Amino acid sequence: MKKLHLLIVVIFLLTLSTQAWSADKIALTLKARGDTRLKRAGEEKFKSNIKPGTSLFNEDHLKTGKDGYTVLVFLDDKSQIKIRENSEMVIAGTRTTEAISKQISMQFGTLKAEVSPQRKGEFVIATPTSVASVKGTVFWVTSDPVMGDVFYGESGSVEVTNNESGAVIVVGANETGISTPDGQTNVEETQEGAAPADEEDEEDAEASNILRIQLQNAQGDIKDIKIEYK
Amino acid sequence: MGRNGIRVSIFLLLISGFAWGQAKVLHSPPRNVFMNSPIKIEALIEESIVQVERVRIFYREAGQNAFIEEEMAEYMGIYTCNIPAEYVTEEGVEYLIMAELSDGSMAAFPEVDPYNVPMFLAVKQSSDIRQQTVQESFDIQGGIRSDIIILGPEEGEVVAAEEVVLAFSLFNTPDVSLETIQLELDGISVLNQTEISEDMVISRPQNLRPGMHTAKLNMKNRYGDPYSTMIVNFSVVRTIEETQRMFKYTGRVTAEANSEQVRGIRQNINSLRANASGSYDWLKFNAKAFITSQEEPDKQPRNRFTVGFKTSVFDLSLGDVNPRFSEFALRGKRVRGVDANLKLKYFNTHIIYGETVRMIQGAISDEPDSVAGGFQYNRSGYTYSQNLLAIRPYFGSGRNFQFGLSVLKAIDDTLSVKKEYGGIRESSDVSIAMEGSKKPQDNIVLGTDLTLAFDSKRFVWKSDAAISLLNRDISDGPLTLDDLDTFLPGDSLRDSTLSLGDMNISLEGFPDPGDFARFFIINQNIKPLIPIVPDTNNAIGMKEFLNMPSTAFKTTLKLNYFNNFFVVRYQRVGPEFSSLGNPYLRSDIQGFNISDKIRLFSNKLFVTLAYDQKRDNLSQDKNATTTTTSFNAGLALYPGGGLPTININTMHYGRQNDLGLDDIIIDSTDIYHDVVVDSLIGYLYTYKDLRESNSTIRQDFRISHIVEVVDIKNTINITYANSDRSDQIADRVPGYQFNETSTSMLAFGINSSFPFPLKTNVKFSTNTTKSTLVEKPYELFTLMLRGRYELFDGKLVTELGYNLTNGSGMIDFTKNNVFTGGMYRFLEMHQLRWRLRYSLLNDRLSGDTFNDLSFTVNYTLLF
Repeated sequence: MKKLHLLIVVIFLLTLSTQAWSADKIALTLKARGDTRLKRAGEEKFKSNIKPGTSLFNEDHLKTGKDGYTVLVFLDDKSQIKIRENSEMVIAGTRTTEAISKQISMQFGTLKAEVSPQRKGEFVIATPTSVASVKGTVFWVTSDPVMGDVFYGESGSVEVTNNESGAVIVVGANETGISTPDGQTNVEETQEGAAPADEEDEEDAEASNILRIQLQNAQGDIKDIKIEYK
Repeated sequence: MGRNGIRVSIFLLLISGFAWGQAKVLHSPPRNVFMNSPIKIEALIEESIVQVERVRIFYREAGQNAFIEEEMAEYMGIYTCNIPAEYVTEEGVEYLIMAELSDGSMAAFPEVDPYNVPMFLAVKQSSDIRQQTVQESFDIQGGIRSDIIILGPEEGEVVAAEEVVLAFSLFNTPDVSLETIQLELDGISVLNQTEISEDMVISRPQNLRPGMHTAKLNMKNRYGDPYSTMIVNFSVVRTIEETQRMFKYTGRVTAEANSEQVRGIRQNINSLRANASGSYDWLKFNAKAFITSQEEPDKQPRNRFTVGFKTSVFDLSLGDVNPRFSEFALRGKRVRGVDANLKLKYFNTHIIYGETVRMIQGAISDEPDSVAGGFQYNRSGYTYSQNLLAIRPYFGSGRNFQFGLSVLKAIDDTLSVKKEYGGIRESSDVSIAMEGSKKPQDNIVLGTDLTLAFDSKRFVWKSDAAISLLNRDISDGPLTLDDLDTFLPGDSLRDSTLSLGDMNISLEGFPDPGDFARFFIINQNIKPLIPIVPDTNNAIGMKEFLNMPSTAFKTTLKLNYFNNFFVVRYQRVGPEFSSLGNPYLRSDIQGFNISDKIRLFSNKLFVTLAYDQKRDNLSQDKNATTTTTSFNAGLALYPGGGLPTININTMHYGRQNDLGLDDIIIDSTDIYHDVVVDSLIGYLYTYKDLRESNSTIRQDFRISHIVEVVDIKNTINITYANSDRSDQIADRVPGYQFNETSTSMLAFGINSSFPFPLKTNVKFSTNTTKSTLVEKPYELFTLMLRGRYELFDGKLVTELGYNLTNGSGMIDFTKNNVFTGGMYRFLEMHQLRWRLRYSLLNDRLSGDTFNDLSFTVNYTLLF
């Protein structure tokens, strides 16, 4: 009988923990390439090489190395964050029945946010220098704790508040917003080629210098000959 | 697209006020219409008495003046057409269906005054779907439209094998019964590799071979109602690098043979339709071809060919294009040529060049007529080829700002139609006359437009203005200086001076109109001859400038705030404004339009309100000014939670002119009796009462609900619609006949889905039309039974059906249709469809009985 009680308690606790776990699931990694690391909330160490399809929970900590790249998508509205190399951030989300209020706490690095119009709550990207409140837009942000933040608007607009001075700038499409640790802010037209590029686009350019020849033997084995040239 | 704008305009005017013909257009308006998604329109023509010549649909964005005309494709008696996605905007869509019958009569939907009171469809935003927790609307497959989000892969995406993740978010669909979830990849269940939670369905299939793959997700809600299947097609390549270098393409080729027999007359139509699209790196491309046996050299082309290329800065289309170039000059008309658009954000240019009308040589009379000095042959049935060039430099992307200037030049090629034809040559005693009203024309339209948009396009203000010049007959070429000498009214003196009243202009050094011929041919057939009309004091002020007869102006303000989509629009199109690139544009009209679409209760309730007022006779040169008003109110309820969806619409359309009792015309030329009154001879005259004041009121009510009985899911649809057109003038002269018309329609249908792969449809409808011009009401009853059964996992689909149509009143007939058909999918890429129909028509009016057998075979190759 005691065993039965114990079993019931274990099952109950397991169920409860699963429910709690499930309730905090907020996003999913769609792509993960190169050096990518993940640390769950409450854990102490990063685990290497995230797999595509990894669920992300509230307060998960993501890090990319020099060749790292990952794409994550939020469950409620398909908003996407593309994280480029040498970046680190915490993904936080508060769930309600209708939506997820999202906050990306970015220590440093480069990301592209493709944010769907937010139904409830908000989408916030916080860096050591600024807080960006997003309603529905596509933009890049590069953040450096020493140099400050640069926001490149592609569509829609993003409102950026400087933590030091409290100054607010609105960065629109084809505009570049600058926010520095000493409290300065500025918005100007984006210069040609200034904004970062998608990982996919850059690979594309690199791949244009690769000649690939595919060979297949009688057994159906396929081998690639890859010739790189400049 | 139509061949002749003028003819269409006249045709549309004729059907304005048209009540009904000998046939009926049977059509159920689609219930759920979403922004930027094409709308499939289907109609059945009840053609018991005469054969259907063709069926056309006229559609437009609500608030536009001109309809786009398109011929509906026929497939075993069902006429279909897609209203393209770009016309499905938040403002709604208006359309009417017109069937032309072989005896020259017509049938329309809506039946009463279709041109002035077209069918209106409220359009929902795609995001409206997302915002509803569960939207209990049912798609054509019978499933519930769900808010499931496909997180990845995207439709058509190329994914590296190591990165394939099939992920579906259930976040917005809380009612899913998790145990009913079925995930298939290429038709094989991958449930054993799938993680299912309350938030997500996720699968990471391993070792996927390169090539096309299809994932399907099926599930039910907690009540056991199936959600509509989520399908995503994607391609797998070996490596991440390959995803970028992949040549991606997709396409389909369809060949169809159709043999239709109606009242013993057989018509065979064969067609081939091919579409392909793809991308490589930064380049996207597409190609379309439609080849039909109905193509005839002596008619406007029915075949269509298009090749298009698209990059981020340059779009190029070659072949048959339907450019939306500007509001007034060119919008939707088919052009066979080049459509190029350079998009550099700040400076952009859109150029269109090509042929809009094909030359048709027509005929020449077999025997000459005797005329003074010899003989004369007559040419008829010809059409000049018409070429069009349109250029629009524009500045700004339109996201916040865009300013454009446009010029359109369209001209008929006077040499394209040969006067000497069929071996007949002109000589001293033989002449050839070009008969008919189709004169070669020349047209130029200058326009400008400005768009301002703020707050993520929640605030949009757009204005367009244009001025046109039309030469209605350029067959004699431009005026010479000699012609100009006596050109103006009242100037018959050959004195090398152009005289108008007191004004004299010496023609010495005056530019020769012939020098401008390459831009525009100037002669006496220009319309308007004088583009601006001075006031009575021969002065030109702002009023005269604004009232120029050949100008057009339109301004629109759109506000999308607080769950309201509010639009206010003012427009004025002068009586002489004319663009050969937009021949369906209604001229001589001025008015405004206000509409609001309100979303309430988390998008569970939509309320649409619209008011429109227009008047004509802008130059005050007509006998009367006619004013039209329309008020439209609609309510769409999507309560969710297993409750029915309800749509209610009402429309009031009024039309009146400013004629009074004193304007009744006594036509003394039309004496058809003499009568004796008090010993004096008197006459009986014809009275013409041209006063107009009539109203049309239309109501539609639609309800849809799912009821499940013993594992059989039944979707019940009930539609009731009625319209009344009545005359509002009480003191008509005796004998005045107004076509007061009332129609009512009730339709009831059940679509059932059984636990085994059988689906059935049962529908019946009654339709009654009463007219004061006809003694007996026209009543139509239709019954449709159809069953569809799937075999071999849906690879083979068979169907069997029966239709009964019974008409009484002015026409009296019974028609029984039995049809069978099917579809077989094989080797993934191939699809074969077939249909056979037997029809027994008993025409009680003529006493004839017809046994008609029709068939269609259709093969599709997908790649």
